[in-house]
Amino acid sequence: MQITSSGCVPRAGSRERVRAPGAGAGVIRPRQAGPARALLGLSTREVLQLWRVEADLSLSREIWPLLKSSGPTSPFKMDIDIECQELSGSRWTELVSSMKDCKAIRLDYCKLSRSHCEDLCSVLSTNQSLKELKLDHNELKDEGVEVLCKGLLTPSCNLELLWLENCNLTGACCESLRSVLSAKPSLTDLHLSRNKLDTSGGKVLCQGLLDANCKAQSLVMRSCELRGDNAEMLTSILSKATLKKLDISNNKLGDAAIKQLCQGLMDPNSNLQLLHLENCDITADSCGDLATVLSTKPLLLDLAVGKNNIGDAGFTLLCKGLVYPNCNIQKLCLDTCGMTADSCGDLATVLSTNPSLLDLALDNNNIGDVGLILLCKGLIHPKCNIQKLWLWECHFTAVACKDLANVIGTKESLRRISLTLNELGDAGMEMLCQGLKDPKCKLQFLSLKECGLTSACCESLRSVLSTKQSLKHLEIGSNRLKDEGAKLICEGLLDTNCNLETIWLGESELTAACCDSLAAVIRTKQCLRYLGLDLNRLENEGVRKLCEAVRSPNCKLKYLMLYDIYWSSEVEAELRALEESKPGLKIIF
Amino acid sequence: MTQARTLVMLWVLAGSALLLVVSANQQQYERFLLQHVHCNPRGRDDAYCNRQMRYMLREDRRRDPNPGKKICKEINTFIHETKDAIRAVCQGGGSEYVTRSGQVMHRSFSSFQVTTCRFHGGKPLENCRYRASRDSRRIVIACDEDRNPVHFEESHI
Repeated sequence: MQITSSGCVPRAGSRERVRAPGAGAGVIRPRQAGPARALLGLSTREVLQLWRVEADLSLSREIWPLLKSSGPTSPFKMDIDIECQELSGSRWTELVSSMKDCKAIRLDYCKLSRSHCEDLCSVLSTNQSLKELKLDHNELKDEGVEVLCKGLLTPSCNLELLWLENCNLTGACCESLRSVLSAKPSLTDLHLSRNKLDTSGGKVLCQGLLDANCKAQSLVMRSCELRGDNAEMLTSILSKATLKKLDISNNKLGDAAIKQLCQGLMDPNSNLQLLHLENCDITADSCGDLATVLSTKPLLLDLAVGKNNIGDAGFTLLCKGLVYPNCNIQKLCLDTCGMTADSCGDLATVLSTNPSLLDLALDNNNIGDVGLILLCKGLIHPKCNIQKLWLWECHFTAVACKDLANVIGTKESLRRISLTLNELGDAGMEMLCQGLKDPKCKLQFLSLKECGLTSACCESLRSVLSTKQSLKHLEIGSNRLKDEGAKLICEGLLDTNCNLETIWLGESELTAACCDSLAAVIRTKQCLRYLGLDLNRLENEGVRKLCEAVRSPNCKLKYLMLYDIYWSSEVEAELRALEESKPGLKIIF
Repeated sequence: MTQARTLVMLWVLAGSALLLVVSANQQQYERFLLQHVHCNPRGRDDAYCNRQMRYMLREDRRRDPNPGKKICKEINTFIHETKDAIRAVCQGGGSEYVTRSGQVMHRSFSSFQVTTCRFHGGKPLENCRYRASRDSRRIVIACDEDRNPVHFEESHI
């Protein structure tokens, strides 16, 4: 039985969650509207709940926490997944008693502190099946972690994953963590981001990681105030054969440190698959060393060097490594790297020679039309297997759209593309639509926010929507589509060929006038799960029309985004009642 | 006996109904304050937006009894003024106009320092990234019966 307190929609995840047969989704409402509470200060919803409790006492048991429902006799393992709730007093005690058999516990933002750690410590020393413990964003501090480590060190503890992001830790607790790392080969996944571990803490931690007993696979230490002097230690842990994932972004490491790191990566024992070095003060100076790594390490699949000012010079060097046959990089993040059109020739060469690259992010680089046109030459090459392409704010316009349309209409592997924040205009969009309509195009996700579009391009868009069966997710808000544009888009959506699951039309200058069309879509399209209409002046009239449509049994919407739309308190009440009546639906106000 | 009890019940119901409306308004005002008012910003840049938006989104979820999936709100504006100065717009500090469906909006006479945060990628919640744009402009808000702001018009005229 799963206890979740972060929403009624079960989270998709790779972790196995065993559910008790016939049990509901197990939603707990965090602030229970029990009869003992005063009416003042409760939200409308809570007051309504209170009324229902008073009206029919038989319902009251369902509203109280479901913690007791899976007792020690239950044959199923439990998971605990709670965020943003204060856990204290009897609530905490009850929760702890239910932790005996858990496999995974997540308690983010729960205002936990050292005293909670004492209890968690005993859980760790008695629960042999506990594999994951996530305590991000709690003021545990060094003392709290030291207590936890006592539990972690007990012989029966087999914890595999420990996340302590933003727990106000310093280097002082690293000694305890070190002893855990050198004693527990089961601990493979450690997240310590956003704790001021500092150079000294980093060094102590690395000692633990280097221990032969330590079989760490994944280490994430973003924003830990690590410095260049940590390089030596970091370098040595890279030669750890078990280490697959290292993320040390947002630490001021500098070129000298990166060069040392690369030496560590070159170690024949190193099996690293993922390396994230975003915002690490890297410049072109260390790109040669990174290129050497890229050309020699076939296991490296995911490299992120975004937010480092490597510039064109740096990128040219990186490319020398990327073109090597040994280079199997699948995911490459180069956002905000100071690249211009000058880098694009080399990048095109990479794309036309390296078939392994699947995911490329170039956001926020001033590549412009010239750059994108060059890039397209590489993208269109038969050897290129690109699946995901992110080009947010790359400063290109309609001028590059013909070539881009050609890529979109030819590259069957391309599934997800974002062109947000580029001034494409209607002319550019028309050209892109030509590519989108091509039967070879199998695009699933398309983002076109803030692209300077108006209703003028919506006829072409309608035509795309009514033919492109593969398209599942469309973000086209923050454009002046207006009611006219929205109506055309809705016509496209209504086509039986259209399988859209998600559409975001926020901030598009829509009014109540297009709500009949929107209502028709809501009523008819059973595939539609997420509809975003925030920041439009739909007003009471429009919102009411939507409500009526949502009530229809055909409507299988999960999320209806209505942020920042002004309505009366009657309409607000109507919306809340609507949400209550449709258990699968969440209306976001 | 039962008649007296019925009367008491009716009073309780009436009182609760009143409190219902009052508490609903209060909730909207408090939400407005959370989402749109931040008096003392430290540097109104992208990093500010990241911090403030994440805080706002987190706190918003915390107050919601049934928050659902985590989402990075696409666009949000913070007004850098005291809540009293903003309330003043509801109380004569702005020109009123009425929308087509009868909603009353208040457009402030004076300009306010604002920062608009636009979503720029990243996974919700702690990795929502934003771009900041600073501005000084007249704000358009809607107010409740108690003349408290309850709605911010992002798309100002």
